[in-house]
Amino acid sequence: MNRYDSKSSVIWFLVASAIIVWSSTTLKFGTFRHPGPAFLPTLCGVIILGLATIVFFQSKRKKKEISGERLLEKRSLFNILPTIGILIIYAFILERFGFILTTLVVMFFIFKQIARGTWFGSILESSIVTGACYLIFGYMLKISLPKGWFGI
Amino acid sequence: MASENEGRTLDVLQNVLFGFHVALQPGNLLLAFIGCVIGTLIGVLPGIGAPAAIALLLPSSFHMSSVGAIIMLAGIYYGAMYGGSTTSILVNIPGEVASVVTCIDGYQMARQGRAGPALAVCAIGSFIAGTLSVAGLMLISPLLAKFALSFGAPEYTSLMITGFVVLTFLASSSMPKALIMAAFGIFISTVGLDNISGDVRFAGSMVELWDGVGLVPIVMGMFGISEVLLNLEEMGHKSVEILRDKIKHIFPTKEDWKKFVPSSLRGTILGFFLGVIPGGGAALASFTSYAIEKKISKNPEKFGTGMIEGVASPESANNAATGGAFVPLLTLGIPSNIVTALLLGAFMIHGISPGPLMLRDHSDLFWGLIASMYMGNVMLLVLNLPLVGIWVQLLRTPYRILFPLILLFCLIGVYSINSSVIEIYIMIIFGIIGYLTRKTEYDAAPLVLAVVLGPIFENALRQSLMMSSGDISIFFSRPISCGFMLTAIFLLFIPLFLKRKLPKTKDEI
Repeated sequence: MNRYDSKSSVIWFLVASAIIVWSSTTLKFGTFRHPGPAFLPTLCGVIILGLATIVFFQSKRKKKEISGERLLEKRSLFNILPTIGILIIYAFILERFGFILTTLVVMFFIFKQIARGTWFGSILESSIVTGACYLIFGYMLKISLPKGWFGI
Repeated sequence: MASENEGRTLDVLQNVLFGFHVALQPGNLLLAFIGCVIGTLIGVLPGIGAPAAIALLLPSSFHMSSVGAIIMLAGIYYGAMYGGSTTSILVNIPGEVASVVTCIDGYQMARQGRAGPALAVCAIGSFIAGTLSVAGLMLISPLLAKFALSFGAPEYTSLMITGFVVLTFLASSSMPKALIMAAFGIFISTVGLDNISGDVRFAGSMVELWDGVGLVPIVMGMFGISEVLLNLEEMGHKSVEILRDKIKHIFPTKEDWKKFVPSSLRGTILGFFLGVIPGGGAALASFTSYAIEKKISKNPEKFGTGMIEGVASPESANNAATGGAFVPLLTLGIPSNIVTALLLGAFMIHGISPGPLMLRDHSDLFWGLIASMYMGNVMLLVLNLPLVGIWVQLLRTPYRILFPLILLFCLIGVYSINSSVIEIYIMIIFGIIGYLTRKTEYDAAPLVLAVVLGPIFENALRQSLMMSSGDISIFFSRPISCGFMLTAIFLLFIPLFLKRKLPKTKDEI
């Protein structure tokens, strides 16, 4: 059993409760004869609730058999959090600044800060990657990529 | 009776010829080749698997013909199985989960200077298995399609319940944890417009979610982004050691042939049938075939020291399973694993519903796909044996170059589906969920499969209950449905009686 089983089961309790409350307050459950739109979501909530209970009691019973790595160790935070952050920024600015500019800036940040490249190397790598992706996806595969405020 | 059999054989032959006519058209041939190359590439490179690659290319398949698109995506699937073995043998890192067991004896063979024969056995074994499994698919599918015509809503409901249970039974985490993921996946599939009542569920005013949460952002998040996040933790702390010796003597000796051909055939038969089972698949096939091969061997103690049978059997099994996995997809419209779930999505994008009537309504696609798989197996043999040096060079690509590319491909792939940044946010959320669930040992596969099967399952369940006026015994009163339900119940309760399940890691085999 994983060291976080009891904690994760509590999170699943909350998720299941939210599903049940959300379903029952916004949708009709119906009957078994005529199941409504809330029928399956509520059923899923109840099943998750039951299974989370099993995981919780299993974790209490098998305390000695702990396995699994620790979540978010200090060393990993330096790589993971900036990566998630930069992905969110990418989504936020993509349609405003357009594909080329956004990709160039974000790729430069990733190559320089997260992949720890040199200034020159990072500029070169991000330019090549952006250009190649524009050529493959925008030109060859004809995927519509956003142009943004500056029209590029 | 004899003339009936003759007639059936002629029908099959005629259909196969028709399939080759479709597959040999230059455009389709080129797409099969592109699929095989991409498949081998992603199989070789650790960090991006077949599901993420197919999800990435799904949007670009909008512009292709339906036959061409499916041929290319299928090529990626079986190509990845081929490519995955290269990293297992040369680096001791499996490119695909299905190649995990190949590391055990494959890497040992490489260390003894027999990397060439090991790679050759993989390629030849995979070719034998791929070809035979396509033959099996060709023979079984029409029969199963006929049988599936008698399926109603209760049979589909119970078949899907069995699929979920099989998948969670085989999950590497505990069964309750895998079932939680499946139930959560079904819940996610209910987001959006309800087909029956027309109500909007859990989407509020977000119009982008009215069609439901897309499969591609979920797959990209759970398999692409989360994989990158996990690898970033190790970046700078783990180095990959690649065999520097020149690979010589590619072809196996006479003694090797004698040993590996029977193993390969056993792996093929086992792999094909395990691939057919909903929830089964390539990984299960390779693990099981290795365990069986070790059990029936005269020298089981030598497994793990570079036995050629330990490479041939699992590699054949995982390739045969890819062929087998197409059987439930093409005949019942039910995917048995994540990759076939994505292929189901590709079928739907092109307005095709796989199922018992597919053989009649889209025979060009059905037989064209089968014939292209024959062609693809030949292409892969050519790609994998003489060009092994190129694939080894690719393995030397540093991860600091690779991961920004994977991230960018995921971002572009997800955005291009609907030209919507909401899809990117969904991918990021599922990336974080995927990272946390993998750290806490919850399997991602049941969630993704449940998201795909959820809408079909909900319709079938609600229709069954309406048919029976709310009586759940309908699932037990019809023979086929009852058979599926009893299997599911048996598998649900068997862990209570068995302390240990199938081997989970290579150390346990």
